[in-house]
Amino acid sequence: MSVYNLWDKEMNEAKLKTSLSSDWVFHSPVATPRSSSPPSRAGETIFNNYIDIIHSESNLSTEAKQTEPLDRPFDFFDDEEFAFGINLLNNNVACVGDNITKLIQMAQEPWPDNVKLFQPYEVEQILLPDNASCLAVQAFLKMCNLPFEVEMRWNAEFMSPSGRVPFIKCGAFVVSELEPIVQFAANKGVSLCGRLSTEEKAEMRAYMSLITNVLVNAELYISWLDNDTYNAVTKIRNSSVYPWPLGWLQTRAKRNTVAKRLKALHWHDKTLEQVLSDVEQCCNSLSQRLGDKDYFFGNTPTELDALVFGHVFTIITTRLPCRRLAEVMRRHEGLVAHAKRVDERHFKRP
Amino acid sequence: MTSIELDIWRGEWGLASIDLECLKVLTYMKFIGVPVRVRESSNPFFTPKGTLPVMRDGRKLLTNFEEVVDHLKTLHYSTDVHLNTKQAAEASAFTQYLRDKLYPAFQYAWWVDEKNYGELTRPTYAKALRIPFNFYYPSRYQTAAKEMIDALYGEHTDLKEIEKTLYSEAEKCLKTLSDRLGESEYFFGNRPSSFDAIVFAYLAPLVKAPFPNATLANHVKGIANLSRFVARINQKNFRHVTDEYNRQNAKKQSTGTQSEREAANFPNQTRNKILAALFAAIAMTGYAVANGMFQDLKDFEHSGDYNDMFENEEDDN
Repeated sequence: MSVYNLWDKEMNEAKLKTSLSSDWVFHSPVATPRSSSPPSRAGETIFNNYIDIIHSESNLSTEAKQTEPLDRPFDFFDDEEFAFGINLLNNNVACVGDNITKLIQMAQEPWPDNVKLFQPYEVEQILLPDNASCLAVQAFLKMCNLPFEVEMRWNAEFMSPSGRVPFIKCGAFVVSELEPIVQFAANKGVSLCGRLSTEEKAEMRAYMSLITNVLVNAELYISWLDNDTYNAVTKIRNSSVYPWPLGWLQTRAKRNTVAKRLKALHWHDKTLEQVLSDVEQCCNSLSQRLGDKDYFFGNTPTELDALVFGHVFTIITTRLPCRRLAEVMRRHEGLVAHAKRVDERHFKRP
Repeated sequence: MTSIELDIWRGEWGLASIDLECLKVLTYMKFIGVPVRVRESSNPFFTPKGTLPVMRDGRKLLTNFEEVVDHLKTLHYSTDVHLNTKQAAEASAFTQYLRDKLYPAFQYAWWVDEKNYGELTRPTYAKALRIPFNFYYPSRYQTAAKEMIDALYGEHTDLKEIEKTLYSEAEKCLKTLSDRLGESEYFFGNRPSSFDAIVFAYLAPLVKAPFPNATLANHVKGIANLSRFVARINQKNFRHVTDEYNRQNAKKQSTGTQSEREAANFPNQTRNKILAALFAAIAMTGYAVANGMFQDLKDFEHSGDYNDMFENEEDDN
């Protein structure tokens, strides 16, 4: 696309927005955050705020970025609020843009009832790493007592603004992956780690990194680079939702992407033994930290508990040809007990 | 026990080495006080992975920090014996945290940021390498760093966005580290551990190197207790390096005039000029010979002969 095209499009859109904005302002002159108005009215407020942002923006280049058309295939573009929410996130929240403070103000409205969590099909499609992160997000939302519905889509991965599952749709916002979702909930005044000291928070962040660095990479390694698992499970499940030639191509492309990622992180050259010993070490650290307490920090759960639960539970309940990962995990009884505890307390309530 | 040898990248700006991994290993060895012969290598061609550091102990060849720590542990050298199991767990978690958040930003600042790469990284590594290799290795390391950034943040297409995300995450990470350190001397107890070596290796180059684009470096310098931490460890373990650097700097400054300092920057100036002139002369002469200019001259002289003129006259008739 040439620069001129983009410019033209942006001008058109800006014009459209101004004409719309005058109407909208006429209807609702006062922005009312935190009010219990019906959804359409909340939408109006958000829209007005958005227009304010557009107008306050003097820098043309960032504006061009904001109104850049989307090229991801969304299949629910009829939902207007959602569509421009994605737009906002894609360009602002997901990349921490200039308007972050204003967006945070907008995001401070209370948690709506119609939040949806999108993820791939659990029975036929989902893979070990994705399943773990989806479960972690679900656990986090349940721990916060935030209502949500799980919606399964075969193309959830491509709907997500960051290209990774799961993601939630909350009013005008689309947020993907655990860490941004935690941040997002915190902006709405819901947080699990409010009572922790700064040092404990630092520790929690460190342990979360430990999991995303070691366990996630180990899961990726086992699902995509271990030949037995790849042929018997990953290939079949990943291509199950596509028609014949596409499934084959998509699986290959995805395997290449994963291999590239692991290569960049120096995981590609490791043998299965080394991977498992890394996992072992990571589990050791986690169970040392957990000790015989109920949760990692005191008597109430934090997002670290959600993340650990997501990974441990998925690893011990998923049947793979390569059983050694699950065996390593099962050896750490503290972690298994912790996963059971979270499952019983947060998932099995009526 | 003096059989341990260590090949590293050379130092600069009062650092013992310019490279993150080398600094980790070197600092760790200083902490333990294990006798080691350090060599500044100028050629990573014969190392197993094309990277430095390389540690040799007898027939054992080790190329990364974790291996070195494990190997020294088998020789009953370790800095982490004073940690209890919970602290050891925390140290490993924080190591991964740095690797997750700070390492990509570090690599970005060194290798991917074009200005830093062109003005700082490339010249520094080129200086450390010998001649055919300095054309190859810097770009190779840059490609590796770019691939890593691409694999981790491939969903953003704009490099500016990636930079912003990376640096804001790194800033958060540094803040966390600073909270964790507080006012204590080391991260765990009052003795250095391997984690202190890692933190020092990350932060010292950022503090000391004169980055043209110093966003990340300024984040580090802005946090008082972390910069004090770096200065403290540097003072205790690498005093001789810093002193020497300072002495050289002082010498350069004290012999003061502008032209002399320039002369110090470009030694062999006269020799280079003569060589350049010689080269130019040879090139021009060569060009002249190749074009047959001397041949023409000979023909001209020849044609000046009386006989030729005579013959020509005959031809005219």
